[in-house]
Amino acid sequence: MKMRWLIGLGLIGLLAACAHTFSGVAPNPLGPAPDFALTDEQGQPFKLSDLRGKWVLLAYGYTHCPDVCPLTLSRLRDVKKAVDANGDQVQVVFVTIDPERDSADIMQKYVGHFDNLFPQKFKGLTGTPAEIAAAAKPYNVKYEKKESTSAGGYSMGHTAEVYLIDPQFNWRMTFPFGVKAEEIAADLQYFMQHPEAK
Amino acid sequence: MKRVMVISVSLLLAAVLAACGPAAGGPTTGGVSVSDAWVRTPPISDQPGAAYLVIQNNGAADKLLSVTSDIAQTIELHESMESGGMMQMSPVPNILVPANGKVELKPGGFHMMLIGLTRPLKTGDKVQLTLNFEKAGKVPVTAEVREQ
Repeated sequence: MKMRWLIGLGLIGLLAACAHTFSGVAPNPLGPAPDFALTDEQGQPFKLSDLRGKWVLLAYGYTHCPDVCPLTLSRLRDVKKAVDANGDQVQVVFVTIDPERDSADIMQKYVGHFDNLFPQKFKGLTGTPAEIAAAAKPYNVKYEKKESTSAGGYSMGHTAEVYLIDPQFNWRMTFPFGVKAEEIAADLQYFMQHPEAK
Repeated sequence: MKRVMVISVSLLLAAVLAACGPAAGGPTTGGVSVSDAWVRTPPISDQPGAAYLVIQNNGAADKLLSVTSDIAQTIELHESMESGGMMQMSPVPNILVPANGKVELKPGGFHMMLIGLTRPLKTGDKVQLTLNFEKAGKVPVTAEVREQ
């Protein structure tokens, strides 16, 4: 009788160890990550596929965004801190959807605020409006300029998801805006330990 | 016996003092109390920043009309919300604080937008904000500058 209980408990333990509930959503179908060419925070040409070999956390936003974008970037800072604080395996990439105001210099200051804990720096990408549009579309990133009565000038409405790309340059997961840092970190860690996982 | 008396009187005094002091959670004016005030360390000091706090109301409905501080030329009330699949941010004329309820100004929702920072703000700094309510009037609050 006791034996049956033990086996039962053991099975539950095994299941708990195997099951991982993802917080992100896998793209359907899974496939190569769309590539794009922009200008990095140093003013140098940069292709997303230059990051092949790393796990990439990709987010879009703009630096005149005081609320939502710093929240996203501080989440990505927390993910990096939890998973790869001193390493170079997880690369955070922030792409502006407001190229009118966000020069390479401003992108450097902005991402530089969030990556100062780490030896590996975040990428902050800008470009011409046409280049930004081409970088946004394949990830289903939507954005629009909104004139405002605010003394802070116009604002940009934008989707605020985070995209995960694996070292083989496949788009693995999309995290909706509300997903917390620890949830993204848990999914990323699971993938890093189970590269075959779907 | 004498000792019991002394202890009782002390306890009574402590209770009276506790009742007179400010309520836990921050300054109280009228039915409104403000707590957990913080300013996000601005990533770039010459661009808009954001501040957050919690307003608890133990009285009749009130409205937060405006906020002033020496740290910014202009402070606007804003709201971030999802609309058409996108996060949008818009100024709001005021923020309603329901009767016997609370409102949280927090990332991704209502916030104070700090425009034209008058000095660089560093993590750990303490700054003063003055909230102006329709009924409760001016409520001063100290906010901590922090990353999140």
